[in-house]
Amino acid sequence: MRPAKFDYQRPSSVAEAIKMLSSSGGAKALAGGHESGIPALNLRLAQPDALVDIGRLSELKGISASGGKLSIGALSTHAEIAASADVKAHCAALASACANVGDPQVRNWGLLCDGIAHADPSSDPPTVLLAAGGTVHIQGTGGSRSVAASDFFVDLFTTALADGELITRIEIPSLQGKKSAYVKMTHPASRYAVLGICVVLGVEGGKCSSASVAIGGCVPKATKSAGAEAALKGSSLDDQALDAAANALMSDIASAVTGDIYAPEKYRKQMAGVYLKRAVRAALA
Amino acid sequence: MFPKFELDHTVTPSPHHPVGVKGIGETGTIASTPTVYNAVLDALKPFGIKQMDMPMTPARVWQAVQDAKANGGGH
Repeated sequence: MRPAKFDYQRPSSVAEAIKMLSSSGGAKALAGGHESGIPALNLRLAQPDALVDIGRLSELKGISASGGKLSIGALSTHAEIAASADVKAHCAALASACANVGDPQVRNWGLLCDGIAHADPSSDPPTVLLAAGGTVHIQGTGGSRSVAASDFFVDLFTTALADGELITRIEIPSLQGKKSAYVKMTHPASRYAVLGICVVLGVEGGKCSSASVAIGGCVPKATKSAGAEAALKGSSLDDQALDAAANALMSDIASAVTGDIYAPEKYRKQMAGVYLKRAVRAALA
Repeated sequence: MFPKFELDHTVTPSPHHPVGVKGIGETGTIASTPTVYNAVLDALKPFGIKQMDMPMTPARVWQAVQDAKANGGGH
């Protein structure tokens, strides 16, 4: 399969990239794209007039932590995030999620923000970003804005990102002092998440003082489970509380679960409960 | 010098197969699939499961256990 004809443009700054994206109606940004964008071009699901290659913009690179916040540049690869001491210290769940995305080739080419902008339901990072209470920083012709992860993921492959806008970086409040984990059921061939769960727990004196639970992979978009959070919060995170949280999660997602020939809906729903318990135990370990 | 010999053949249909065929070529690999299959069925013995369709994906094994439980199997 070959893509339809398109122009190739390489801006030297974010401002220039945004100008290029907005000057042509059918221009699309290209950064990593090898997992999603290029196949879409080759299958002609996407036929942009121009590709704006933002892959070399140094403004969009770099990972740093200060003032209780972790900042990850849009062009950070999964491999860079997985290996970053700052990410490990402030959002260990994201480091472990990125360490298990695809295979080494995917992790060395694929970008965190590529996956977030694409919003593939089987992608791992959106689930972690949502559970961790992260924000997506965006720049467009109208200036810059930031959108909370809970507002950013709108639906299947649909985000709050408008045409001509670029993700510049992701910001996550430091999870230091909290217990967090991301666990996933990995598809044996694609390594995508059949389902993935991220938990972020505050634990004080043996009791759960705060709980954030997000699930992806088996639902159209990364989704929080208020029921599971309520069941965990205030509990001593014992088996009884975990059973209650698992049941609440299954009930929260019941009408949204998607399935396929490998893992039908009712199996994924049941496994969501199992993996929630695993996630909590992994966070506490 | 190559010795002189006579060619003949024998027909011994397999009693374990409806049309009597046997595997030839890579016969060693043929055994691995039923070995795994039988191991899974052995693990599912407490549920009274005696047969499953391939491939035995996690979802199919789970479904077989659910069906067995619904039919009063397992303990």
